[in-house]
Amino acid sequence: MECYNCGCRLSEMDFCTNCGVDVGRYKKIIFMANRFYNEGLDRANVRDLSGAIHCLRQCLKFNKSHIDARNLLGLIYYEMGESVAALSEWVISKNIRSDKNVAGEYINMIQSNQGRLETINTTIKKYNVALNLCNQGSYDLAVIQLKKVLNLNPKYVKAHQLLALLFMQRNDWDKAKKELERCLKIDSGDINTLRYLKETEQMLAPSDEKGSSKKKAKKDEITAVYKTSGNEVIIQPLNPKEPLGLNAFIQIALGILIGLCVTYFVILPGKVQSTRDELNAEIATYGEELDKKNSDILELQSRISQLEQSNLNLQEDVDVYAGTNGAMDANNNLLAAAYAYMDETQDELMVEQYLALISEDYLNQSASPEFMELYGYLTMQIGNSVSETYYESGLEAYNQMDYETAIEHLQKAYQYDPTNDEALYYLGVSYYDSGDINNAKEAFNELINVFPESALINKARQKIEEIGD
Amino acid sequence: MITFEEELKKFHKSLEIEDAENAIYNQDLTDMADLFIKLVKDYDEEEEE
Repeated sequence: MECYNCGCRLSEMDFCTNCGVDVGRYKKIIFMANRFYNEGLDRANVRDLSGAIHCLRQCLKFNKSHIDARNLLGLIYYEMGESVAALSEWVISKNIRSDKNVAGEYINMIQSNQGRLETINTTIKKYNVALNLCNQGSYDLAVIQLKKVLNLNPKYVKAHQLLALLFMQRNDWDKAKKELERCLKIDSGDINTLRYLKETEQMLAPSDEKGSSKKKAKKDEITAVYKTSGNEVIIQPLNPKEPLGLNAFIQIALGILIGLCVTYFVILPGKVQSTRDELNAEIATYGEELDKKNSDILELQSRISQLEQSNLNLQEDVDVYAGTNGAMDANNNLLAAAYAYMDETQDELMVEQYLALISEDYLNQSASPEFMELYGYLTMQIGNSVSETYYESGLEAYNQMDYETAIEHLQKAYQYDPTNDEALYYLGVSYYDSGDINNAKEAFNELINVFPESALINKARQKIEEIGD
Repeated sequence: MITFEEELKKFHKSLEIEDAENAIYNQDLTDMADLFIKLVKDYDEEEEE
C-alpha cells in the first residue's frame, strides 16, 4: 500500500513515515476494498457469480485500482456471456497497470482470434434482436432467436433467463425449468433465476399434488358406499369380491366369447383388408412389370420389323449387284465374248455363242450405253464372218430339208449381217417350205422393202403371189 | 407472482463491441479513496484559510 499524498510505501503506522500525512482512514478504505475482493473471490469459487459481481463492484468502489478485483470481474462477466463488459474491465485494468497484468493476455486472447470476436458480436446482436422481438410481442420469433444465441454461446445467462421467461409466459413450465437449471449451473446466485425457478416449481408442484389428491379422492370414492340404517352406519364395499362359481365361469365364457367376437368382427376384417391391400399392391406391381414387358416386346417387334425391312433392302441391293435381272451374267458373257474375240484363234463362233447368251430383255431394258457400245462393236466385228458361216450351215440344213435348223441359222445369218438379202430370202423360203406361211410372207415382204434392188426380189414376189392373201 | 411484462422490462440490451469504447470512457471511476483524499484536501485548505 502506498501513501496517497507522496506515493511512499506505508508501514503499519496510521501516518506516512515519509510525509507524515494521516493515512488511518485511507488504510481502512483499502482494507474494506480488500475485504470485498476476498468475499467476491469466495463467491466466484462456489459459482455464485452474481454475488461475486456485487462484491467486486463494491471493492472497486472503494479502490478503483484494485487490479485483481477488476480482472476477476472481467472474467466473471466473460463467463456469463457479457463479453463486452469483460473487455471493458480488462481494458481499464490494463490502463491502470500496463505491466505484469494478466488483463493484457485476456485482451490479446480475444483480439487475436477474429472469428471468436465476430462470434461474440453476433451473439450479442442476436440477443438484442430477440429482446426487441419480445418487446414487440413476437415471442415465438424471440424464442427461435434466443435458441440461436445459446447455440453460439451456451453460457449466456441473460439469454437463458429471457428464454425461460418466454417459456413461463407460454406456460411451458418444464422447458422453463430446464433453462433455469442451466442458468444455475453457470451462476448459482442470480436472484432473477432463483425467483423464476421458485415460480416454475410452484406451478409444476400443485398439479402433482392436485393429481395425487384427486386420485386419492377417487380411490376413496370407489372403495366403499356408506349407508345409514337408523342409528347404524353400514359400510358397503363397492367392489366386493364375489365367490368363484358358476357366475365366474359364465363371466369367463362371456369374456372369451366377446374376445372372439371382437377378433372376428374387428381384428379379422382389418387383417383381411391389410392382406388384400398388400395383394393389390403386389398385383399392381406385377401389372406394372407386365406393362413394361409388353412395351419391351412391342419395341423389340418394331425393331425386328425394321431389321427385316432393312434386310430386304440389303437383299435387293445384293440382288442388284449380283444381277438378278441378268446384269452380272450379261456382263460375264460380254467379257467372255470380248476375251474370245481377243484370243489368237479368233473363234468368231465362240464369240457369237457368248453374245447369244445375253438376253434380249437385258439388251433392251437394262444394258448401259457402254455395254451396248462394246456389244455392238463385237457384233459388228464378227458379223460378216458369222453371218456367212450361219448362212452356209442354214443353206445346208435347208437342202437337207431340216427347216427348223435352217430357220435358226438363217435368222442368225441375217441378224449378224443385215445386208445379207440371200439369207433373208432363204429364211422366207424355209418358213414357206416348213408351212409357216405368215413368217414366210413377212420375210419376203421385208426383202422387197429393204432390198428393192436385190436380184432375188422377183423370186420373193413370186413366192408372195404363190402364198396369196 | 411473476408478471411477464414487468420482468421483461428488467432485461436491457447488451453492449455491443462498437459501444465498448464509449462504455469505457463513460465509466465513473471515482472511488471512496478519491473522495476521501478530496475531503482531506478540502479540509486542509479550509484550515489554512
